[in-house]
Amino acid sequence: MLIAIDPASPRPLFEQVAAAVRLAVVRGEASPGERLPAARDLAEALDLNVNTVLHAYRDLRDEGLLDLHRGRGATVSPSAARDYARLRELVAATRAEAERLGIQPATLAALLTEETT
Amino acid sequence: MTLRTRAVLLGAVLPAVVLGAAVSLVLSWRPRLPDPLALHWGVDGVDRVGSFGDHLLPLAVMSAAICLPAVVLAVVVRGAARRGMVGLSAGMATMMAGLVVGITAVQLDATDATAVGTPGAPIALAVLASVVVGGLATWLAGADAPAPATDAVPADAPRLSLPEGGEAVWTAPLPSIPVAVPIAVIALLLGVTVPVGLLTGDWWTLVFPVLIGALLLVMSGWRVQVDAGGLTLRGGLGWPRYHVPAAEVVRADVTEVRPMHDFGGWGVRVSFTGALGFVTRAGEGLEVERTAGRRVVVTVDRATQAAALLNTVADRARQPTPDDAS
Repeated sequence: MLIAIDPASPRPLFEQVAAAVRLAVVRGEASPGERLPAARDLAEALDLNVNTVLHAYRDLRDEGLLDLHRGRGATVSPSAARDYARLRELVAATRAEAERLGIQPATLAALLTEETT
Repeated sequence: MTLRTRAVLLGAVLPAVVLGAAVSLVLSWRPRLPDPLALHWGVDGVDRVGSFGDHLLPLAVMSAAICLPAVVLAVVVRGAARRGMVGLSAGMATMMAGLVVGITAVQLDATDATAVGTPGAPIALAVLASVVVGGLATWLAGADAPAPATDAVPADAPRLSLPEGGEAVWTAPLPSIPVAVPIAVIALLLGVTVPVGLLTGDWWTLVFPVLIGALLLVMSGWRVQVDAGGLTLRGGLGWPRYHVPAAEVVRADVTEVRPMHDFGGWGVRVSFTGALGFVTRAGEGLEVERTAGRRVVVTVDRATQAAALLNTVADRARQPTPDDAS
């Protein structure tokens, strides 16, 4: 999985890390039971404080996405990967349809994130 | 001492000396050996005997056939696989020398060749010694001298759009070899060695399944990581470790790996072109061209991301900014 962070972004760093892991799991890039890098290694690679990574990992555990084991690090929770396959199909279909209609990705994103009144 | 000298000394001179010493020792033992000698052991003990020549000649020919290609590879291979080839050559020569000496030593001062017991302990010792000597030679062969790339990463190499000051890490498990393979290998080895142990009491043969099992264990649970430092492969226990610094990446690309065709099999392999391969399955892989003509191939899923990030960090390593100093 790819975890990219931008220290210049107004989003908190732990949230950026959590968002990247979340995206990887939903995309099926990290399979159930797969071990994530140790918090210390990830912090070192991203030039972050280890607590920032641990904060992200704990949030993801609370969401049920990760299992945290003492001494064994974090693994993708087996229950977390359940029904994303259909969501992925729908997203792919939506993108294809938007492309066919010439709708810009930004418009599509707005359609998905902004609630209709 | 240059790496080249070390490769010649450890990969060619050492094997020649070890094998030469083994043959001389066996020749010097000739007066103390029975005539005929035991040549082959079956389940019921010695099942074939022959003259001194029948004993030494096939062993010498077999040693040469096994060790010569290894010596040539140790001296010729320059790239990422150099250390491994030197270790392989030293280890092979140690094993063959151990076998030649061991199979002869058990017959010293024997009066009846057919009564000589199986040379189990010497064979097990020879195998263990080859692992130790091979490991030592690999270590002594020395790490490559730093060779930072001087040219920019080619423009056509894939990149990742990473904001200025942004950091990224790409990490993935090295796909495991289908679990049936290690199970089948161990089962097969136990299926041969346990009956042999029960029938003949030669439990020393268990050294093979144990060694192969240890090797398979070391090869499991590997992780591949790309970050600002470059590419790193790590074993499940954090060891062994293989690292390509970002500054030594010429370019990274996605490739299709055909294990048999490209590397002659699975595992940590060397291709015919001298590329080092971490090959656990067929299909998508990351191919890294490293300075000094070295090439590394790793089978991983989503290698596109890995290649793009590696090229991006290689770009950054070429233009050090104050940000990268930390």
